[in-house]
Amino acid sequence: MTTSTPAASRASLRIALVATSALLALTACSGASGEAENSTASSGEPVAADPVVGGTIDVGIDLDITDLDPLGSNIGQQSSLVVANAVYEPLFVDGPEGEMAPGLAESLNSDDAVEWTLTLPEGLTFSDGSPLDGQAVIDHVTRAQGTESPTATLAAEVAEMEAVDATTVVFTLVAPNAAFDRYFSRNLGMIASTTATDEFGNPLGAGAFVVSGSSDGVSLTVERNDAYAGDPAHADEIVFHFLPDADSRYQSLLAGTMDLTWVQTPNHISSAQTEGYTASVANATTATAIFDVTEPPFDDVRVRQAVQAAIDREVLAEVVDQGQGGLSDGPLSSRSRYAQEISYPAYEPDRARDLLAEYGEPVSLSYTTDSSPQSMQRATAIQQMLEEVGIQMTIDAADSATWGAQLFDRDFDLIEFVTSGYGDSDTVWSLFECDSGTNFGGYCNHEVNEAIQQASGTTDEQARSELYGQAAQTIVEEAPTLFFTESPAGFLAASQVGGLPDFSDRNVISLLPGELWIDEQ
Amino acid sequence: MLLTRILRSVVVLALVGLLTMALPSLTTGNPAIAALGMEASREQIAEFLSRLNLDDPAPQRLAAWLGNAAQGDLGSSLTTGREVAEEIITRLPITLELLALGQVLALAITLPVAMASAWRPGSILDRFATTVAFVLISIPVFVLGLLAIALFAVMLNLLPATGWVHPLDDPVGHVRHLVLPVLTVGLSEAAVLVRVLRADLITTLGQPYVMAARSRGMSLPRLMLTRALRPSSLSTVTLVGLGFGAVFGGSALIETVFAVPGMGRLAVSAIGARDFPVIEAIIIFSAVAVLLAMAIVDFLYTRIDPRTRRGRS
Amino acid sequence: MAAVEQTPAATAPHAATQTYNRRRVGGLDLLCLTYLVCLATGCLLSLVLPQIDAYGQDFTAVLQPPSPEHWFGTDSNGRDIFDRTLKGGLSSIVVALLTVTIGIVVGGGLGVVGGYLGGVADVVVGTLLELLLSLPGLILVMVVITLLGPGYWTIGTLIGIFMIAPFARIARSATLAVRDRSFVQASRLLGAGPARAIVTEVIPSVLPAVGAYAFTAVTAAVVAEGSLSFLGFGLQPPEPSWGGLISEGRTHLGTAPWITLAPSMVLCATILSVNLLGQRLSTTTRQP
Repeated sequence: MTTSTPAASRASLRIALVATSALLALTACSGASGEAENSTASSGEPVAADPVVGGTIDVGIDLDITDLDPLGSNIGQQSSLVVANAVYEPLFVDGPEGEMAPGLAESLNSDDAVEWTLTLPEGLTFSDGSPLDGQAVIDHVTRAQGTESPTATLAAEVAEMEAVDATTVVFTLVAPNAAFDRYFSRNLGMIASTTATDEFGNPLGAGAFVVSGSSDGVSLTVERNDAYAGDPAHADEIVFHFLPDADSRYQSLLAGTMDLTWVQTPNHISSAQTEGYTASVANATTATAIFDVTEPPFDDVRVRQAVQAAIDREVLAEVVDQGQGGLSDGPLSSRSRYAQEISYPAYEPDRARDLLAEYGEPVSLSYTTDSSPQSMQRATAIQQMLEEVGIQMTIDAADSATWGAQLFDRDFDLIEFVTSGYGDSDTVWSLFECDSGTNFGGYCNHEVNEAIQQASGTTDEQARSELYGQAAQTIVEEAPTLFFTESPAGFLAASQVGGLPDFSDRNVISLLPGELWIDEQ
Repeated sequence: MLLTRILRSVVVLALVGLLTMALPSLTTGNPAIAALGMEASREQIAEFLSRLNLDDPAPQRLAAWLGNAAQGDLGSSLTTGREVAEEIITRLPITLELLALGQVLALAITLPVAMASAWRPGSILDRFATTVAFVLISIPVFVLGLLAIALFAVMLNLLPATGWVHPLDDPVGHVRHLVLPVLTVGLSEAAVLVRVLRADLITTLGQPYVMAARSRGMSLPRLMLTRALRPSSLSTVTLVGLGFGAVFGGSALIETVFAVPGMGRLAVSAIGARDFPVIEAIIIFSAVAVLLAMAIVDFLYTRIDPRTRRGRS
Repeated sequence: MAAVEQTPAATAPHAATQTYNRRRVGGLDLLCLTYLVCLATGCLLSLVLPQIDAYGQDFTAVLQPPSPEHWFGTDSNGRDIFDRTLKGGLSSIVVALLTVTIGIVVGGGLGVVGGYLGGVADVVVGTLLELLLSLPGLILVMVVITLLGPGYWTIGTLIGIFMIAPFARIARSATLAVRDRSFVQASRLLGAGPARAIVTEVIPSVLPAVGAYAFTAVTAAVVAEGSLSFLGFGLQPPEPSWGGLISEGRTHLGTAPWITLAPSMVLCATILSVNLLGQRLSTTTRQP
């Protein structure tokens, strides 16, 4: 959960990657949850079919947001998107099956993956009435290039920008990137005014809500933005409460003090459903662990493969995720538009023993994790599995700060990394690129590297899919990262809340709160 | 007397300050990396360290801290970026409210129970009260809190188990969330106070002047209230005072059990993140609070029992 | 730390007033003693008996309620909670013993020296005690544990440091009470140096009061260790400890309450037993 985020992102100057902030953010809490398939099941009362206008919705999230600026350090983690989306609706939204759906913008197209044309609708304005036109987008991207946020590296891919007219911007990239449009579904696409801020110091946005109140460390209140270009928000007001403790967040929902809460804990999802609450979740976090492949013994592929073969992932899914969620078979998530058959090495303790025998020296390892309950549970289970093949494993339950430091310092043998980053199959590859700032384990395979870079430059989806498939297959075979489970995350809603979309086929939980309504009767 | 006392407090505070400022030197890893978390550049680390002066000797750090504190600047949290002073101002009232209500509840239980118990030591009522107090004293506060949650929230579903709601957002919810933590604080505190006050009352009731009043035919309830209670309340006052002295973080357990975002939670999360500016402020203020509470308790002594004015040993 | 500070005041000094119950040895005492002996034996056996397996996970039997096979049920990793509770008791025992030793030796020593010598020595000791009292014990211990890393010895020593003050106070006032008594004065007149007088005359007279407080100190140490591990500053997992076990079960309080309740009961029963025995001992020694 919140673990590393704030401290992390502050210092993350050199880290690139769209996914990064999300990756880091989510590392702490893995989750697991209810029945995988119908996770969006509404065992609750059916909600009034027609949207109700008015009222206040109380939303409990796991973060403490001190700075709402999408180019600041607080916005990035999946659960922060709901807050940022309220004020800075992104130009595009992650839709079903990883497709991009228009948000504020109309379209962003390219023929060669180098020159991209963005089309905005007429008459978009920030909440103070000033125009959100092509120039405003350029100003935003320019500001992003100058910040220290993770978004800066994305913005740096833009070589030139030109506002052809008020509603059209042409971007020219440094190198071809067929997935450039995806950058605009998160921070880079949350266009913030460079000229005006609200009374709380946040830059103005053009979303369905404007900030109307802020209580440090406790909550943030937004009210309907009357200047919003789309359909006006149903609710008058939304209060985002900062409730980092998962148990108490859940209890607040049960007690009726929250209408909607962020959830990543499997038994909360299943018990909420029995209690009649709606769970809108997707297996949007991936539990993985990264080897430091630069040091013995894990520079030897056989040792990594032995560890991989010794871990029974079915048990992890059953025990940690309580059978909710599914297995993760590599960098391409099961919901990815590039999803394809990847054969992940099976659980074979005997093969693990053989590989270790072949390696010849005794292997011991330290598994670094944060101390969240699910992580501890997973680590404990893995410890026993490894012991059975003769690997002595110690659990290094680091506090959040230390975990982040160890990750970035490559001060680990095997470090747990639970992330939402795999939700975006186009941007997650920097975890495996040789010279990437987020290649935490130091893995470098030139064929993989080549495939990733080639894919990024190709506009042909089929070709890209094949290249990604090759890279993914090599990665799972060489095991620089172990892939465990795809675990659920999302929202729990009380029965009076309506408009909550079905996230079950989404890669990223990105909720537009303007669509929500509440029936307070 | 007063002068030595003040002098001693100053010495104690100086020692607390030095000790606190020496804490970072215990860190095994690089505190900057622990705090900055990410792939911080060399320059960043250098800048960070110079800003925090973590490498300076403790006296120098203390002097710098005091200089800034005098101007109301306690530094900024390494994790949230908020000013430490602001963070404390947000959290302190939450803990204060919890502790104050807890102590009030404890006293509300203690006074009648202790007096009724001391009235006839060995009576059924006394045995019952002392037994309950004895059992309660043996239950650690975090277990008591969990039992309260298991009973009132999970089984009976009467009250929210954990969490905290801002009183302005939802006054009713605020009170509902406070019930269980206040009950836990109050009960565990009352268990201690009942035993102490009861014992002191029994001692006082055996004093000649009380016996004399008794033999003059003063009724027991009156005797209890007018003669016995006041001189018997010294230890009780001390304990209540120390209870308030714990306002800076002493309630970490209760706040963790009930997920109350007060000073205790702030302390625990700051410690987990090695957020030195926050930790330092909490420890120093905490020492100030304890010394202040003790001074107030001593002042109350002189009010309660004039004999102590001539100096207590 | 809250626990360390408040429990002492609560039990020992006022125990003498429980005048109504003067039985020497009752069924309750035996029960407590038996319980503590069994517990200690079980905890020690967990070191040697392979049957007591605090780590083995049975993934086919997670979150099982108590049964003849698993007396306290199993946790979310399918580990036997009874076995883990026994193993976890070890850390409580080690920490309690270490803490009380530090308290008696260092605290008792300081109190006797300060009380006997008076003057500058007493002022120094007094200031030191006030320092210890004004420090937020729990928080400071947590900070040092994060910085140094947890372990039996670190935890025991740190809690022990905060146990110095109450022992020193008791030893000091007991010393003051005997310092001017005739037999001590006499040995001083006979030319015995302070060291000799302390060893031969003062310490024997101070020991009973200190010894009585040791029981309270044991419970305080057990609570403190439990509190630390409950807050996540105890031994590193998968090493069990009572506070850690109690904390681990919190997420499952609604569905598998035994994870939290069983170790809680053992913890409370232990404190209660030690308290009862301590109280009984102090009432009987004071009323010969």
